Amino acid sequence: MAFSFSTSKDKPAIAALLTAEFAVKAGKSVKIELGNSTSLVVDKNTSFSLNHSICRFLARSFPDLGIQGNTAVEKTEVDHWLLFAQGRLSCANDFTSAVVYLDTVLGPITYLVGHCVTIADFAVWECLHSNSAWQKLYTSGEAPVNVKRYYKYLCEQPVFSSIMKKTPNVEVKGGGGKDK
Amino acid sequence: SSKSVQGTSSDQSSVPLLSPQKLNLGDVIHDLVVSADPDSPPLSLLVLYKVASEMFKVFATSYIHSSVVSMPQNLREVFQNGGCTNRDGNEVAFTLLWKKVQNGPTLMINPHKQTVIEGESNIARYIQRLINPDFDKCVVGATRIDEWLNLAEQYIRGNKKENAAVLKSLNSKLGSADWLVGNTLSLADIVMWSVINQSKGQKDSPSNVKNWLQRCERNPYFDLANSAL
Repeated sequence: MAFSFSTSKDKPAIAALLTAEFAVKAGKSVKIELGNSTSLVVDKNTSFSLNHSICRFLARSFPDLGIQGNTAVEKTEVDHWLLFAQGRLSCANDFTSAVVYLDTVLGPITYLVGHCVTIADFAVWECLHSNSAWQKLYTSGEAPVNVKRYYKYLCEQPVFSSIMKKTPNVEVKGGGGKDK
Repeated sequence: SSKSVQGTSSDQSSVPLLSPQKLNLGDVIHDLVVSADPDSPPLSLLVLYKVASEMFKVFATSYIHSSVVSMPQNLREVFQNGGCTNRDGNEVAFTLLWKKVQNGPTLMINPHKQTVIEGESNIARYIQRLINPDFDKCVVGATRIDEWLNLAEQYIRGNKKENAAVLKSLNSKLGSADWLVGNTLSLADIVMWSVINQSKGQKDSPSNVKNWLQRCERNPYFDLANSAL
Protein backbone atom coordinates (compact mmCIF):
# COMPACT_ATOMS: atom_id res chain seq x y z
CA MET A 1 0.00 0.00 0.00
CA ALA A 2 1.26 3.50 -0.81
CA PHE A 3 0.92 6.18 1.87
CA SER A 4 1.08 9.94 1.44
CA PHE A 5 2.98 11.77 4.12
CA SER A 6 3.16 15.51 4.20
CA THR A 7 4.77 17.73 6.81
CA SER A 8 5.22 21.42 7.37
CA LYS A 9 8.30 22.93 5.71
CA ASP A 10 8.87 25.43 8.53
CA LYS A 11 7.96 23.27 11.53
CA PRO A 12 8.42 19.70 10.35
CA ALA A 13 7.34 16.70 12.43
CA ILE A 14 10.91 15.43 12.44
CA ALA A 15 10.42 11.98 14.02
CA ALA A 16 7.65 11.23 11.51
CA LEU A 17 9.83 12.55 8.69
CA LEU A 18 12.72 10.31 9.81
CA THR A 19 10.37 7.32 9.91
CA ALA A 20 9.02 8.03 6.43
CA GLU A 21 12.52 8.62 5.03
CA PHE A 22 13.77 5.41 6.65
CA ALA A 23 10.88 3.46 5.08
CA VAL A 24 11.55 4.97 1.64
CA LYS A 25 15.29 4.17 1.84
CA ALA A 26 14.30 0.57 2.69
CA GLY A 27 12.23 0.40 -0.49
CA LYS A 28 8.77 1.05 0.97
CA SER A 29 6.23 3.07 -0.90
CA VAL A 30 5.70 6.33 0.99
CA LYS A 31 5.25 9.64 -0.79
CA ILE A 32 6.94 12.46 1.16
CA GLU A 33 6.02 16.07 0.64
CA LEU A 34 7.14 19.25 2.44
CA GLY A 35 4.12 21.52 2.58
CA ASN A 36 2.06 23.53 5.04
CA SER A 37 0.81 20.99 7.56
CA THR A 38 1.47 17.49 8.87
CA SER A 39 -0.62 14.46 7.97
CA LEU A 40 -0.39 10.90 6.88
CA VAL A 41 -3.21 9.84 4.64
CA VAL A 42 -4.00 6.12 4.82
CA ASP A 43 -7.15 6.12 2.71
CA LYS A 44 -10.03 8.47 2.08
CA ASN A 45 -11.49 7.76 5.54
CA THR A 46 -8.34 7.50 7.64
CA SER A 47 -5.51 9.88 8.40
CA PHE A 48 -3.17 10.74 11.27
CA SER A 49 -1.82 14.18 12.09
CA LEU A 50 0.32 13.73 15.21
CA ASN A 51 4.08 13.26 14.94
CA HIS A 52 4.32 10.11 17.09
CA SER A 53 1.11 8.60 15.70
CA ILE A 54 2.61 8.76 12.23
CA CYS A 55 5.82 7.10 13.52
CA ARG A 56 3.80 4.31 15.12
CA PHE A 57 1.50 3.86 12.16
CA LEU A 58 4.38 3.50 9.67
CA ALA A 59 6.40 1.25 12.01
CA ARG A 60 3.38 -1.04 12.41
CA SER A 61 2.61 -1.00 8.69
CA PHE A 62 6.13 -2.17 7.85
CA PRO A 63 6.98 -4.62 10.66
CA ASP A 64 9.87 -6.10 8.65
CA LEU A 65 11.79 -2.83 9.18
CA GLY A 66 12.05 -3.64 12.90
CA ILE A 67 11.69 0.04 13.88
CA GLN A 68 8.92 -0.65 16.42
CA GLY A 69 11.04 -3.25 18.25
CA ASN A 70 10.80 -6.98 17.74
CA THR A 71 9.30 -8.43 20.94
CA ALA A 72 6.49 -7.34 23.26
CA VAL A 73 9.08 -6.05 25.74
CA GLU A 74 10.98 -4.13 23.05
CA LYS A 75 7.79 -2.60 21.66
CA THR A 76 6.83 -1.43 25.14
CA GLU A 77 10.34 -0.04 25.72
CA VAL A 78 9.82 1.95 22.51
CA ASP A 79 6.54 3.27 24.00
CA HIS A 80 8.44 4.20 27.17
CA TRP A 81 10.87 6.33 25.14
CA LEU A 82 8.12 7.99 23.09
CA LEU A 83 6.41 9.02 26.33
CA PHE A 84 9.78 10.19 27.72
CA ALA A 85 10.40 12.24 24.55
CA GLN A 86 7.04 13.99 24.59
CA GLY A 87 7.07 14.39 28.38
CA ARG A 88 10.21 14.90 30.46
CA LEU A 89 12.60 15.58 27.58
CA SER A 90 10.30 18.24 26.07
CA CYS A 91 9.65 20.01 29.36
CA ALA A 92 12.09 22.85 30.05
CA ASN A 93 11.96 22.26 33.83
CA ASP A 94 12.78 18.55 33.53
CA PHE A 95 15.27 18.83 30.67
CA THR A 96 18.47 18.72 32.72
CA SER A 97 17.44 15.69 34.78
CA ALA A 98 16.03 13.98 31.68
CA VAL A 99 19.41 14.30 29.91
CA VAL A 100 21.21 12.93 32.98
CA TYR A 101 18.84 9.94 33.00
CA LEU A 102 19.35 9.43 29.26
CA ASP A 103 23.12 9.54 29.76
CA THR A 104 22.96 6.79 32.40
CA VAL A 105 20.84 4.51 30.21
CA LEU A 106 22.98 5.09 27.09
CA GLY A 107 26.23 4.16 28.91
CA PRO A 108 26.52 0.60 27.58
CA ILE A 109 24.34 0.80 24.44
CA THR A 110 24.26 2.24 20.90
CA TYR A 111 20.49 2.34 20.32
CA LEU A 112 17.79 2.92 22.91
CA VAL A 113 15.97 -0.38 22.25
CA GLY A 114 17.49 -3.62 20.96
CA HIS A 115 20.36 -3.64 18.48
CA CYS A 116 18.96 -1.47 15.68
CA VAL A 117 17.50 1.96 15.22
CA THR A 118 13.82 2.33 16.23
CA ILE A 119 11.26 5.12 16.29
CA ALA A 120 12.40 5.62 19.93
CA ASP A 121 15.72 6.92 18.55
CA PHE A 122 13.88 9.09 15.99
CA ALA A 123 11.75 10.67 18.73
CA VAL A 124 14.56 11.25 21.24
CA TRP A 125 16.97 12.53 18.55
CA GLU A 126 14.30 15.00 17.40
CA CYS A 127 13.92 16.37 20.95
CA LEU A 128 17.67 16.85 21.29
CA HIS A 129 18.16 18.19 17.78
CA SER A 130 15.41 20.80 17.98
CA ASN A 131 16.25 21.94 21.51
CA SER A 132 18.43 25.04 21.70
CA ALA A 133 19.52 24.15 25.26
CA TRP A 134 20.83 20.83 23.96
CA GLN A 135 22.54 22.48 20.97
CA LYS A 136 24.25 24.87 23.36
CA LEU A 137 25.49 21.98 25.53
CA TYR A 138 26.60 20.03 22.46
CA THR A 139 28.47 22.82 20.67
CA SER A 140 30.17 24.02 23.84
CA GLY A 141 31.41 20.49 24.58
CA GLU A 142 29.61 20.39 27.93
CA ALA A 143 27.09 17.69 27.02
CA PRO A 144 27.14 14.43 29.03
CA VAL A 145 29.49 12.06 27.25
CA ASN A 146 27.10 9.20 26.38
CA VAL A 147 24.31 11.42 25.07
CA LYS A 148 26.91 13.35 23.05
CA ARG A 149 28.25 10.13 21.49
CA TYR A 150 24.70 8.89 20.79
CA TYR A 151 23.57 12.16 19.19
CA LYS A 152 26.73 12.47 17.08
CA TYR A 153 26.53 8.84 15.94
CA LEU A 154 22.90 9.25 14.80
CA CYS A 155 23.67 12.57 13.03
CA GLU A 156 26.21 10.68 10.90
CA GLN A 157 23.71 8.01 9.79
CA PRO A 158 22.38 8.56 6.23
CA VAL A 159 18.69 8.94 7.20
CA PHE A 160 19.46 11.54 9.87
CA SER A 161 21.94 13.51 7.76
CA SER A 162 19.51 13.66 4.87
CA ILE A 163 16.79 15.04 7.17
CA MET A 164 19.23 17.61 8.59
CA LYS A 165 19.78 18.89 5.04
CA LYS A 166 16.04 19.15 4.35
CA THR A 167 14.92 20.88 7.54
CA PRO A 168 15.63 24.34 9.00
CA ASN A 169 18.64 24.71 11.30
CA VAL A 170 18.10 25.17 15.00
CA GLU A 171 19.20 28.51 16.36
CA VAL A 172 21.57 28.19 19.28
CA LYS A 173 20.55 30.73 21.88
CA GLY A 174 21.07 31.03 25.61
CA GLY A 175 19.11 29.00 28.21
CA GLY A 176 15.53 27.82 28.06
CA GLY A 177 14.00 24.67 26.67
CA LYS A 178 12.10 23.79 23.56
CA ASP A 179 9.67 26.43 22.34
CA LYS A 180 6.12 25.50 23.19
CA SER B 1 -4.79 18.65 22.16
CA SER B 2 -8.43 18.08 21.29
CA LYS B 3 -7.29 17.95 17.68
CA SER B 4 -5.23 14.87 18.35
CA VAL B 5 -7.87 12.17 18.37
CA GLN B 6 -10.22 13.38 15.72
CA GLY B 7 -8.49 12.63 12.45
CA THR B 8 -11.13 11.31 10.14
CA SER B 9 -12.55 8.21 11.69
CA SER B 10 -15.43 6.64 9.92
CA ASP B 11 -13.64 3.30 10.14
CA GLN B 12 -14.67 1.07 13.02
CA SER B 13 -11.38 -0.66 13.56
CA SER B 14 -11.90 -2.71 16.71
CA VAL B 15 -8.90 -4.06 18.55
CA PRO B 16 -9.80 -7.16 20.60
CA LEU B 17 -8.52 -7.13 24.19
CA LEU B 18 -8.03 -10.89 24.17
CA SER B 19 -6.58 -13.15 21.53
CA PRO B 20 -9.25 -15.49 20.12
CA GLN B 21 -6.81 -18.37 20.57
CA LYS B 22 -5.59 -19.89 23.82
CA LEU B 23 -1.99 -18.69 24.25
CA ASN B 24 0.94 -20.61 25.64
CA LEU B 25 3.68 -18.70 27.47
CA GLY B 26 5.94 -21.72 27.99
CA ASP B 27 6.93 -23.58 31.14
CA VAL B 28 8.32 -20.69 33.15
CA ILE B 29 5.97 -18.38 35.03
CA HIS B 30 5.87 -14.93 33.39
CA ASP B 31 6.71 -12.33 36.05
CA LEU B 32 5.49 -8.73 35.97
CA VAL B 33 6.60 -6.46 38.80
CA VAL B 34 4.74 -3.16 39.01
CA SER B 35 5.68 -0.40 41.46
CA ALA B 36 2.96 2.17 42.08
CA ASP B 37 2.05 4.96 44.47
CA PRO B 38 -1.11 4.25 46.53
CA ASP B 39 -1.97 7.97 46.23
CA SER B 40 -2.61 7.43 42.50
CA PRO B 41 -3.32 3.71 42.11
CA PRO B 42 -3.09 2.42 38.50
CA LEU B 43 -6.66 1.13 38.39
CA SER B 44 -6.17 -0.05 34.81
CA LEU B 45 -3.87 -2.74 36.19
CA LEU B 46 -6.74 -4.15 38.28
CA VAL B 47 -9.02 -4.21 35.22
CA LEU B 48 -6.36 -5.83 33.06
CA TYR B 49 -5.69 -8.41 35.78
CA LYS B 50 -9.32 -9.50 35.43
CA VAL B 51 -9.06 -9.56 31.63
CA ALA B 52 -5.77 -11.48 31.73
CA SER B 53 -7.31 -14.01 34.14
CA GLU B 54 -9.58 -15.14 31.29
CA MET B 55 -6.55 -16.12 29.26
CA PHE B 56 -4.03 -17.23 31.87
CA LYS B 57 -3.85 -18.56 35.41
CA VAL B 58 -2.66 -15.38 37.07
CA PHE B 59 -1.09 -15.28 40.51
CA ALA B 60 -1.27 -11.78 42.00
CA THR B 61 0.31 -10.45 45.16
CA SER B 62 0.94 -7.04 46.63
CA TYR B 63 3.49 -5.68 49.08
CA ILE B 64 3.77 -2.36 50.86
CA HIS B 65 7.17 -0.68 50.89
CA SER B 66 8.31 1.16 54.02
CA SER B 67 8.27 4.48 52.11
CA VAL B 68 4.45 4.38 52.15
CA VAL B 69 3.04 6.20 55.16
CA SER B 70 -0.67 5.53 54.83
CA MET B 71 -2.51 2.95 52.84
CA PRO B 72 -6.28 2.81 52.32
CA GLN B 73 -7.77 -0.50 53.49
CA ASN B 74 -9.55 -1.24 50.20
CA LEU B 75 -6.23 -1.03 48.31
CA ARG B 76 -4.54 -3.15 50.97
CA GLU B 77 -6.96 -5.95 50.17
CA VAL B 78 -6.47 -5.88 46.40
CA PHE B 79 -4.55 -8.88 45.03
CA GLN B 80 -4.93 -11.14 48.06
CA ASN B 81 -5.55 -13.97 45.58
CA GLY B 82 -8.11 -15.68 47.78
CA GLY B 83 -5.47 -16.60 50.34
CA CYS B 84 -3.57 -18.67 47.77
CA THR B 85 0.16 -18.55 48.46
CA ASN B 86 1.46 -21.05 45.94
CA ARG B 87 2.83 -19.84 42.61
CA ASP B 88 2.97 -23.37 41.16
CA GLY B 89 0.70 -24.09 38.24
CA ASN B 90 0.27 -20.40 37.37
CA GLU B 91 1.26 -18.91 34.02
CA VAL B 92 1.59 -15.23 34.94
CA ALA B 93 2.55 -13.56 38.23
CA PHE B 94 1.56 -9.94 38.91
CA THR B 95 3.50 -8.45 41.80
CA LEU B 96 2.30 -5.03 42.86
CA LEU B 97 4.71 -3.13 45.05
CA TRP B 98 3.15 -0.08 46.66
CA LYS B 99 5.87 2.55 47.00
CA LYS B 100 6.66 6.16 46.21
CA VAL B 101 7.64 6.43 42.53
CA GLN B 102 8.94 9.57 40.85
CA ASN B 103 7.64 9.37 37.28
CA GLY B 104 4.46 7.35 37.61
CA PRO B 105 4.15 3.59 38.04
CA THR B 106 6.91 1.36 36.64
CA LEU B 107 7.06 -2.12 35.15
CA MET B 108 9.94 -4.58 35.27
CA ILE B 109 9.87 -7.90 33.43
CA ASN B 110 13.49 -8.78 32.91
CA PRO B 111 15.91 -6.55 34.83
CA HIS B 112 18.94 -7.76 32.85
CA LYS B 113 17.53 -7.10 29.41
CA GLN B 114 15.34 -4.01 29.57
CA THR B 115 14.93 -0.42 30.61
CA VAL B 116 12.51 0.13 33.50
CA ILE B 117 9.23 0.95 31.73
CA GLU B 118 7.51 4.04 33.10
CA GLY B 119 3.89 5.15 32.84
CA GLU B 120 0.53 3.53 33.49
CA SER B 121 -0.29 3.58 29.77
CA ASN B 122 2.88 1.65 28.95
CA ILE B 123 2.24 -1.00 31.62
CA ALA B 124 -1.22 -1.38 30.10
CA ARG B 125 0.28 -1.72 26.59
CA TYR B 126 2.58 -4.51 27.76
CA ILE B 127 -0.26 -6.53 29.33
CA GLN B 128 -2.32 -5.92 26.18
CA ARG B 129 0.49 -7.41 24.05
CA LEU B 130 0.71 -10.37 26.44
CA ILE B 131 -3.00 -11.22 26.15
CA ASN B 132 -3.34 -10.34 22.46
CA PRO B 133 -0.03 -10.69 20.59
CA ASP B 134 -1.76 -9.40 17.44
CA PHE B 135 -2.42 -5.98 19.00
CA ASP B 136 0.16 -4.17 16.84
CA LYS B 137 -1.14 -5.89 13.70
CA CYS B 138 -4.39 -3.92 14.07
CA VAL B 139 -2.47 -1.00 12.57
CA VAL B 140 -5.13 1.73 12.50
CA GLY B 141 -6.96 0.66 15.66
CA ALA B 142 -3.81 0.29 17.77
CA THR B 143 -2.54 3.70 16.63
CA ARG B 144 -5.90 5.29 17.56
CA ILE B 145 -5.68 3.60 20.97
CA ASP B 146 -2.19 5.10 21.37
CA GLU B 147 -3.62 8.58 20.80
CA TRP B 148 -6.10 8.11 23.66
CA LEU B 149 -3.38 6.64 25.86
CA ASN B 150 -1.27 9.74 25.20
CA LEU B 151 -4.20 11.92 26.23
CA ALA B 152 -4.54 9.82 29.39
CA GLU B 153 -0.88 10.51 30.24
CA GLN B 154 -1.44 14.23 29.60
CA TYR B 155 -4.47 14.08 31.88
CA ILE B 156 -2.40 12.58 34.72
CA ARG B 157 0.03 15.51 34.51
CA GLY B 158 -2.41 18.18 33.36
CA ASN B 159 -3.81 21.18 35.19
CA LYS B 160 -7.53 21.87 35.53
CA LYS B 161 -7.83 23.71 32.24
CA GLU B 162 -5.86 21.13 30.24
CA ASN B 163 -7.91 18.32 31.74
CA ALA B 164 -11.16 20.06 30.90
CA ALA B 165 -9.96 20.05 27.26
CA VAL B 166 -9.31 16.30 27.43
CA LEU B 167 -12.79 15.71 28.86
CA LYS B 168 -14.22 17.85 26.10
CA SER B 169 -12.65 15.78 23.33
CA LEU B 170 -13.78 12.60 25.12
CA ASN B 171 -17.28 13.98 25.33
CA SER B 172 -17.31 14.84 21.66
CA LYS B 173 -16.12 11.36 20.63
CA LEU B 174 -18.64 9.70 22.96
CA GLY B 175 -21.46 11.73 21.48
CA SER B 176 -21.44 9.46 18.45
CA ALA B 177 -19.94 6.25 19.85
CA ASP B 178 -20.27 4.01 22.92
CA TRP B 179 -16.54 3.24 23.07
CA LEU B 180 -13.39 5.20 22.25
CA VAL B 181 -11.98 2.95 19.52
CA GLY B 182 -14.04 0.55 17.45
CA ASN B 183 -17.40 -0.74 18.63
CA THR B 184 -16.35 -2.52 21.82
CA LEU B 185 -14.39 -2.00 25.05
CA SER B 186 -10.69 -1.51 24.31
CA LEU B 187 -7.48 -0.61 26.12
CA ALA B 188 -8.25 3.06 25.43
CA ASP B 189 -11.43 2.90 27.56
CA ILE B 190 -9.70 1.03 30.40
CA VAL B 191 -6.79 3.47 30.76
CA MET B 192 -8.88 6.61 30.27
CA TRP B 193 -11.44 5.36 32.83
CA SER B 194 -8.58 4.69 35.24
CA VAL B 195 -6.96 8.14 35.07
CA ILE B 196 -10.28 9.97 35.39
CA ASN B 197 -11.20 7.95 38.48
CA GLN B 198 -7.79 8.42 40.06
CA SER B 199 -8.18 12.17 39.87
CA LYS B 200 -11.82 12.02 41.02
CA GLY B 201 -12.62 13.67 37.70
CA GLN B 202 -15.98 11.84 37.34
CA LYS B 203 -17.97 14.60 39.01
CA ASP B 204 -16.65 17.29 36.64
CA SER B 205 -17.34 15.16 33.58
CA PRO B 206 -19.80 16.18 30.86
CA SER B 207 -22.79 13.89 30.33
CA ASN B 208 -21.52 11.62 27.53
CA VAL B 209 -18.39 10.99 29.58
CA LYS B 210 -20.45 10.24 32.73
CA ASN B 211 -22.56 7.72 30.82
CA TRP B 212 -19.48 6.08 29.38
CA LEU B 213 -17.78 5.88 32.81
CA GLN B 214 -20.86 4.02 34.05
CA ARG B 215 -20.89 1.79 30.97
CA CYS B 216 -17.32 0.78 31.87
CA GLU B 217 -18.18 0.16 35.53
CA ARG B 218 -21.03 -2.19 34.63
CA ASN B 219 -18.58 -4.44 32.78
CA PRO B 220 -17.51 -7.33 35.08
CA TYR B 221 -13.86 -6.73 34.16
CA PHE B 222 -14.10 -3.57 36.30
CA ASP B 223 -15.34 -5.33 39.48
CA LEU B 224 -11.99 -5.43 41.26
CA ALA B 225 -11.11 -1.86 40.26
CA ASN B 226 -14.55 -0.68 41.45
CA SER B 227 -13.89 -2.26 44.85
CA ALA B 228 -10.64 -0.28 45.11
CA LEU B 229 -12.29 3.10 44.51
